[in-house]
Amino acid sequence: MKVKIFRAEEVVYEGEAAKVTVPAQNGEMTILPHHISIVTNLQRGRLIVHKENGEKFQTEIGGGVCSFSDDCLSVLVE
Amino acid sequence: MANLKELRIKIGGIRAIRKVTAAMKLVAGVKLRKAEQRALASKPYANELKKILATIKRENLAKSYELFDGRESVKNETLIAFASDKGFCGNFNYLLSKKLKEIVAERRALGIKVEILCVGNKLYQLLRHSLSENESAELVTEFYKGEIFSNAKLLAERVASEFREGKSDKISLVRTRYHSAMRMAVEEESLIPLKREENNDVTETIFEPSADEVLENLLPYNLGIQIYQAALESMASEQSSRMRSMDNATRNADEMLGDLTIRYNRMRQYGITQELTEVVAGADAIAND
Repeated sequence: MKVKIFRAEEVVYEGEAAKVTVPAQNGEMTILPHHISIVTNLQRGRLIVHKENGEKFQTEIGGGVCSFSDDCLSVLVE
Repeated sequence: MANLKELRIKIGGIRAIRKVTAAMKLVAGVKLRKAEQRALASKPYANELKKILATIKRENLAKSYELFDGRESVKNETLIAFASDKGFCGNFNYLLSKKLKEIVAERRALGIKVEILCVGNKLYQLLRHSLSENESAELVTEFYKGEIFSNAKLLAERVASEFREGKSDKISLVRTRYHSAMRMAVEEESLIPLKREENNDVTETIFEPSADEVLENLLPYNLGIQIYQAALESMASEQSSRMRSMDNATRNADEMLGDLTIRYNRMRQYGITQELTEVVAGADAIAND
């Protein structure tokens, strides 16, 4: 699945991923490919992108929103 | 007629001013490019936000639909107006204040109480004496210093809470839109009710925890990014305006320098000729004796 992470001033990350773990408002949530369309609030925490080759991309966020649809995850973070 | 020394001082002064205006033009050019780049860099975020907002449909909402539809009767309105903190930018601030006064007069006719949040000291000074007791203006200080996006978000949170508390029924932006270096226009834009595109997509979307809460969470970001982009466009317009007026000033200085130099040379030559005539006349007088 495709992942795009945006900050107001820049695009933080753009690429393919096997799964993504986000700090959702109701607790940590992992999104796998072909998840149902979802929009969720994020809280302060750590966002982890698991790439297909086993590498990880991690970033601290101060809150935001993430939206998954059509096998594409877009995350707006603070 | 001014004497030589006075002319020389005048030429020196104009030369110094020309140096300053030429430098200011260059600086404005650099700042303009920076503002343009930042505006460009914020586009993907804004577009993505728009997409997410479009997935929230009117029927998903249980209580926050006021944000989409607006209130039926508007009694209080908040206007956020963008101008500059600094002068020397031609009629940039004047054009904005002119449009703003028109808007205020229009609202006055409709019986709407207006609160104006001025970003930019110059605008505040142009405006504050022209308001009646039904209107208030407040200066938002230090907006352009530090992190502009976080300032924009703070402002967004403030107006959003004013809307929620019912202190304001409508939030609008008044700003200069930057099309190109030659084309700029002051425009009014609505923040709340939210501008959004209807989405005819039929796929079910889950909202966590609920559509209302997602919208409420999204609101400060959405307003924040709009305010941020408006501020950046206004900055770009200001710098572009400043570039143009400094260019004009430099050109005027050049013209004046040319005129004055000719006058100076002519006067100097006149002095030399006169001295020579006197010397020759003096010599003649002695020879004749």
